[in-house]
Amino acid sequence: MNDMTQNNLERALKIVGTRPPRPDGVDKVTGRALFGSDKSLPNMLVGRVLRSPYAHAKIISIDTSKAEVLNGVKSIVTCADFEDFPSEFVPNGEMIVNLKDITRNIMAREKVLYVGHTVAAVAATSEDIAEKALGLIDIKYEVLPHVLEVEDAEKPDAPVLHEDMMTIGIEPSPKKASNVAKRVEFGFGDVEKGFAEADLIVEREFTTQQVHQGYIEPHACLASVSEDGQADLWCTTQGAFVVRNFCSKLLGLSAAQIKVTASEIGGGFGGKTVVYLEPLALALSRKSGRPVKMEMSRAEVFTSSGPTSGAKVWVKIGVKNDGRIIAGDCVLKYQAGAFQGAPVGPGAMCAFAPYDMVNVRAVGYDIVVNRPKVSAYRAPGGPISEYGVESVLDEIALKLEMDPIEIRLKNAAKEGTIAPYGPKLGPIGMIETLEAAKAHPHYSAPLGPNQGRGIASGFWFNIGGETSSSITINEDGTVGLTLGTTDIGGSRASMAMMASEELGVPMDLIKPVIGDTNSLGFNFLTGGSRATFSTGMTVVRSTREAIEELKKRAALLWEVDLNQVEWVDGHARLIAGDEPKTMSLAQIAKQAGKTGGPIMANCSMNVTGAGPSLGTHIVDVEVDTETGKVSIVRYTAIQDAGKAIHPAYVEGQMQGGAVQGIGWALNEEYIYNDKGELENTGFLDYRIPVCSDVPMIDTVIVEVPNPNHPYGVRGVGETPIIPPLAAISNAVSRATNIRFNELPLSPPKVLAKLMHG
Amino acid sequence: MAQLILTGSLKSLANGVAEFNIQARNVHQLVVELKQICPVLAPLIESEGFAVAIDGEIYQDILFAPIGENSEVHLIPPIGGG
Repeated sequence: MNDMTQNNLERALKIVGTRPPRPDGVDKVTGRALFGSDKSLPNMLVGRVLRSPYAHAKIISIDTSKAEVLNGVKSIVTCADFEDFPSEFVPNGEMIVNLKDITRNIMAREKVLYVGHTVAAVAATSEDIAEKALGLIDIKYEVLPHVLEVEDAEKPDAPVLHEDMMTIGIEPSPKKASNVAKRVEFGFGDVEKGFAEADLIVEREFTTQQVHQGYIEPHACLASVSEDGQADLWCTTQGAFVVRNFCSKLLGLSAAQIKVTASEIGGGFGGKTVVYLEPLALALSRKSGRPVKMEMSRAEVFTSSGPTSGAKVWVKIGVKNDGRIIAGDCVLKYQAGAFQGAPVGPGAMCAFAPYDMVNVRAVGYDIVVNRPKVSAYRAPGGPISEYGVESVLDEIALKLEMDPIEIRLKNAAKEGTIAPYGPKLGPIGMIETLEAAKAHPHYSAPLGPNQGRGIASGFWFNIGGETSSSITINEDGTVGLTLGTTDIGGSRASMAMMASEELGVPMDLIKPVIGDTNSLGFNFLTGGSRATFSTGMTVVRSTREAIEELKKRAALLWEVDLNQVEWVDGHARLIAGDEPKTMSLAQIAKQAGKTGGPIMANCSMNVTGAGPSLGTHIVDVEVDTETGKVSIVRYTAIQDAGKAIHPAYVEGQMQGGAVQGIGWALNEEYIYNDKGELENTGFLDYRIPVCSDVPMIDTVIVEVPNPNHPYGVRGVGETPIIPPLAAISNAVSRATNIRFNELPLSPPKVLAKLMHG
Repeated sequence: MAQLILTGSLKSLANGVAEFNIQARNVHQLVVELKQICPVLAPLIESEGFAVAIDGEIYQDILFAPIGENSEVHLIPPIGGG
């Protein structure tokens, strides 16, 4: 339990739980907000990247001499400009990564490993000159055979991407390199014994395709390195401090030499937790002595930033006739892209986590292929594994003629359940979300012809992590909040609301800003559904410290002991005495200089106590049997938020996750040709849902408070992308009476199955 | 006495041993003790990092998270998100 001795779980709240306008709203709707590519500096150069045309090739030589003499070219960088790091695992935002791989992903060294892999970068006085210079760089390759799919990559005769990569996690340790980076296993009990006792067993294989987060704003940054080695970096990112640390390592600079400022962000969803352009722009700026701005095109975003894994999933579940699960087993094979680090670990950990299992096993394989290195995407790994489990569970419910919610209720994880990854779960809201789904009018609404209804649940852990923030009481009674976690989903509003609730002053007196990396201690990035939970914890704690200081100043002015002063509704109040005496925050702030100086407080902590979030989605689909097109007719997302600080933002997260899941389920996929070239590098061919594709997503917020947070907050951003994949697949299967085990459920695939079974 | 419980891959690495009685009273001491009671796990934890669940609560990179006299401790991979 965290040391938050006073909590607000039982207190009547005035601000938390309301829906005030967001502090950043006006700038965003008027176009005043500055995003990654919106900033410029005098004498700025344009940076462009030369990328590999091959999916797998040895780099024989790189000759930049012709480009260097082109008028207007100011600097060129290749792998020779970056230190080569040995194999070293370091935390990289959302995942542990190998520094050797990061070095090679930002700039290819011995080999190129995917089409779009960076091989050189140029800074020039204009975009045209930079592009011309790229054409003058002469690179000689020896083309190698490539491999794109996990089932091909694990074959003994597959082209090997990394000659030094031995599979970790199998005994005896292999002596021969392969594309399988790691095997992981979670679970307990005796799975074979469980299956032997089962009345019904369903075993299926599933396929999911590689999908991109689809953030609207491409990666962009502006770097400026001065003659004395001080670097300023402006970029679109989910974690300025993480960018600082990686760039300092990659460029041999100290953390104090780089100041990173996060721009407003046009979507990230996990994809902006790693560095791509940032170290290149810094290196080009350092070499040229001028600021360098770089932006990815949409095609570059698709080919060269990190999507999430495509995968093969095998699931086997055994149940008793009453629907009780007696054994669950799965094998997950996830594409990592060109370097190890697929989110197969968390995928395996949460595959069966919504359920109270007695015999469970989840095995995962992290497999490299000639595709871009995967990055985090909302609940990394979870949607894929839980898609398989939730689909099999639906088929079992059908075979047992059980209601799909009832079978989930019968097996639902609850407080005290041992999670498949080991520890006992604290209070969670799985049962509550299922009960809310059952009671929702959507669940009992009639269906039309060719329509089907699907149900699926989802689990995500949520996290805490290193966080710091500060609060300043200004002399006019307004309040400044400096936060270190990038605001990607309305967290400035939520933080101001918690500070407002604590202080007892109106929220519009509180100005929250996102600080740069020089203004606060280290902050882990915004991801893992941690910002409202973790930064909220530091805001509450620092606000309470500021209140203590305000009370001290009032006590000084009243010449009484501190214990005679309490804080009520934005005022210090004298407890003792006949006459009620109060002093407002503004009155105290006005005299701060005379009573000891400015009033401010900081809080830095490594936050623990995150509470898992569970969700259940209901979806109705209609299948056009002539074209195979699946339309979403009605959608309801239900989720345990712990406590919704700003319910509209929680609903927004639930709706956004659901829509991204709809895209994953129905249309999105990376399509490669036989040369390993991505063929759909734009939104015309890579089909994310638009408004006309989806109905209004209805939401129900369930609140089972997280006892470790002063307001009961859990994270909400990850979980809502998990249920849609299986919920939609289950709905299509029920509408057509044909089981679908492959995503996306795009018209040609659905039509083929309708025609041929 | 507090118990370290291993499941899945970690149990296999520890030659099938699922439970260890541990003296450690915080995560820092656990890392030291682990090198003695189950040395095969130490390189994995040092190279890739691990989170520790103590009585169900997950601690990532917190060396001095307290382990109670009768605590149940699990090692799990660090968890991120998107």
